[in-house]
Amino acid sequence: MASKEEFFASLTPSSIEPTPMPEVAVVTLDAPPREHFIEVLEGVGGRLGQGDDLGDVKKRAAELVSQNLQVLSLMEGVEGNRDPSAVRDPHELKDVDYTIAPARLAVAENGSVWISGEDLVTRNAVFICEHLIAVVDENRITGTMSEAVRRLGKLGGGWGVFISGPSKTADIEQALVMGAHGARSMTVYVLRGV
Amino acid sequence: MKIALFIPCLVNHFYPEIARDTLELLEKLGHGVSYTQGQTCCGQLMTNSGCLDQARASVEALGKALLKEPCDAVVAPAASCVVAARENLERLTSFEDFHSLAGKIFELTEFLHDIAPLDHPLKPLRKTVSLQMSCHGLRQLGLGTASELVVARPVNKLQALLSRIPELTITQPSRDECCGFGGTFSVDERDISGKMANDKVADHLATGAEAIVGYDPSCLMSLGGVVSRKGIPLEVMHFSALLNQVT
Amino acid sequence: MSQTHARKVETFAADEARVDWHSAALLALRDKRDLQAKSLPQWEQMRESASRMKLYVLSHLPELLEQFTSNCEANGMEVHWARDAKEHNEIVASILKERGKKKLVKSKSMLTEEVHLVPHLEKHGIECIETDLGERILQLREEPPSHIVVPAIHLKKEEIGELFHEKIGTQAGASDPTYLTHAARESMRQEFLSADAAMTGVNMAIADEGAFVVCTNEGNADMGAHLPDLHIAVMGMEKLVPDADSAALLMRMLARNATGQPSTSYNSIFGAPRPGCELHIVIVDNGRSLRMADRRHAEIYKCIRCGACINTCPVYRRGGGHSYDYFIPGPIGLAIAGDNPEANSEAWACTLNGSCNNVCPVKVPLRETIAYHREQLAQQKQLPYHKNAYMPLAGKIFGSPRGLSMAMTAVRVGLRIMPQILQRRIGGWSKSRDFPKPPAESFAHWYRKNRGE
Ligand code: SF4
Repeated sequence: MASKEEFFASLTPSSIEPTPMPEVAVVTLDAPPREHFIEVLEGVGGRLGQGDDLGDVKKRAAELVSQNLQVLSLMEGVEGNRDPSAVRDPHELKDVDYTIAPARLAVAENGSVWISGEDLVTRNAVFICEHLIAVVDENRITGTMSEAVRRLGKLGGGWGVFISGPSKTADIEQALVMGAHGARSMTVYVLRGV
Repeated sequence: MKIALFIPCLVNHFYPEIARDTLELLEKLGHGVSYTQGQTCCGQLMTNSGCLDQARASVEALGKALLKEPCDAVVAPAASCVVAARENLERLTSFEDFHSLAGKIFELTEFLHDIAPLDHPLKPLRKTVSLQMSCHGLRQLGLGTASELVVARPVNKLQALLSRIPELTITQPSRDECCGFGGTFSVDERDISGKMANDKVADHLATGAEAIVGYDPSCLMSLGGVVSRKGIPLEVMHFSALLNQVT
Repeated sequence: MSQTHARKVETFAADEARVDWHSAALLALRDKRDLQAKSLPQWEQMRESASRMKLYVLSHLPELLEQFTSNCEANGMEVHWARDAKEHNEIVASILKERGKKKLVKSKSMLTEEVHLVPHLEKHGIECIETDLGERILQLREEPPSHIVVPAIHLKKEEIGELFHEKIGTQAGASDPTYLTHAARESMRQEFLSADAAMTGVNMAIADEGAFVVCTNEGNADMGAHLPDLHIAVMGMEKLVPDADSAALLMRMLARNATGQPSTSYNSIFGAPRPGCELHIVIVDNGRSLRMADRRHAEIYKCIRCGACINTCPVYRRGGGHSYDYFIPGPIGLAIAGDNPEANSEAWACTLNGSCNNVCPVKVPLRETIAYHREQLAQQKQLPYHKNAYMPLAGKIFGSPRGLSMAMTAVRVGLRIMPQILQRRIGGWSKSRDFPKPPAESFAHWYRKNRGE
């Protein structure tokens, strides 16, 4: 095994002429972000939550709980029936039906939401569940991925994920199937801004 | 303009009518056209297989033959040969005159579209043709905008030329995919090459056209080979034949 | 010397209906890609920026590697260095063994195919589970992938149904993709829950952040990485990008160009291990820097593995991914490894039509690189298809106007007198095409007669 020094010493100098870093344009979109986001979200197999107020999310959570489903809510002010503070190990979440999580950003061009590890009890909470509900403020919708990444600020030192619709695969004869390994469905509530 | 014809070896020996149509067409358009004997191959057969050294003699002989008559432009009715001649004269020879010669070789479509734009009145022709946009012309010479590219205003120079013929109906196959000729590829990879040619002919046939019309004789030879083998009711022709007929 | 590519395609090509089915599946990806690309008017500028950004990276690798490493270390990750495949595999095995790990779940990584990691770990008694559905299907079939993005594109659902029936107990005769996918989900869930280590690849390594991006549709990379207390990410050193803006640019293009989706379902950005867990990164050279020392070969490392050049390749679509010698098929595979004299016909499995160049999001000069490999093999007299013998002869004949004229005349006359029935039996060209009907005289002859000198 090589040390870092040995590795660097073994590198043959690149033949590519020193090329300056180009301007990487941060593209913005003209379309109104909310409508655009919803349209693309539905195109990638996601659903728009019914209602645009936190109260609607609460109602939905209560409904799910009343159906005897396992609901893990990581959203402040929304009650599930699993205690997030009791989670010690991600394996414990294997029977979760619904995870409700706050999204810090949404991206119109690809219908994705940004979920930060800081808002989850454990990173796997948004993958291991059967269904995912994300909640985002409409003022936090950006046009493109480049704008979103600019707004996120520092990426090192933490973890986060852009999620665009449910987990999916087309590995069998290119037939699109939702629910490969992660959540089978993805619902996003877009809350009216204050 | 004073034009020297470059007639590639395949056209010279197997499709002399393409050369004659090109000659007559350019003359009708008012150009002074000459042809010099002793032209060889653009070197493509060898360079396509990486054999640059083996191509040098042929490219030099071609250069010499083309330099015999002074001219404003060299015009050839074969796109891939033009690409190869330009490239090979540049990279395989060190003679200045060959390098400047390379800069004035044009494929017939690009000559009539860009260099000496066709503005002659043309006779009507009632026919439906399907355009064979062969790859070298399409992607190396820019005779059209390839389907992969995102361009606000796509161009198609062959279509632009032919659409000047009254009553001619112009169609195109659903894809601008390679016809599978590829030089020695057509022999080395006979299965894939044959399948590609068959698929291409089927795509042309599906347009409902009576004829396949293109600017690259080698690709047309391959498609013509399928048409003949299968007895398909399609004419296969170089576009110079159409233009010569209506000029 | 391995079999020629033309020989290797024979079986696949013989089943024309299957070829058409295979080709159509890939063309559907190409069409979806076109729609997505065309939805962004700045697409061509994005390609140019991405290409130049990658050239910047490849011409500043040592600095960027240093920067990436120190930032990752500051973020609590551990970075390892592998000069070649052997070192890579030893590093991974020792990380796992030192911690007593027995079962590794891994997401798709072309690098681990390149270095043959799985057999190495299995020798050390470590069980490896591929978690991408396509890769898992092939692992169960003990077969290599036939495509880098859609690895099981060559298989019919009935074949997968049979395989699953035998291996994971689905109903006999069942072949519905939804049913099969969900059965795999259940079976794989058990594997995820019982694994004690996870491995992922890296799509973009962000130097100034000390973070990396992993893109999947299935969520398998995340499902794997966020359960056990050990995550190993492996990357070829060309995966670096300078900053988050550059990563965002590539994220905007990758899925659009690969499968025609606006994004993969998951773009996961790892900038630190989970509290109490370990995150290791293995950075690999394995011949990259050597290839990059050759300017005409170097730009293959701009590649972001979107697979679009493969989808558009008319030869790949009709010959299948298993017709290639190198584990990466199609244009990018030929551009990387087409100079291998052991598989010298590979570089000729291409018509140089150039569609691949045009779909490439980072403008890898695929066509030119493949043509370059032909030159290299010609120099080494390693030409396939009898070219070593006939090319020098062709060069001589074509180099002499008289010789060329005589040879062509001979062919013309030959074809005029040979009955078509015999012509059709020559093979090669005439397997599916007739020869042209040769004219009585050449143009040069006609011109001399009719126009004088
Ligand atoms: S060479 Fe270009 S098109 Fe091909 S896989 Fe790589 S990035 Fe994609």
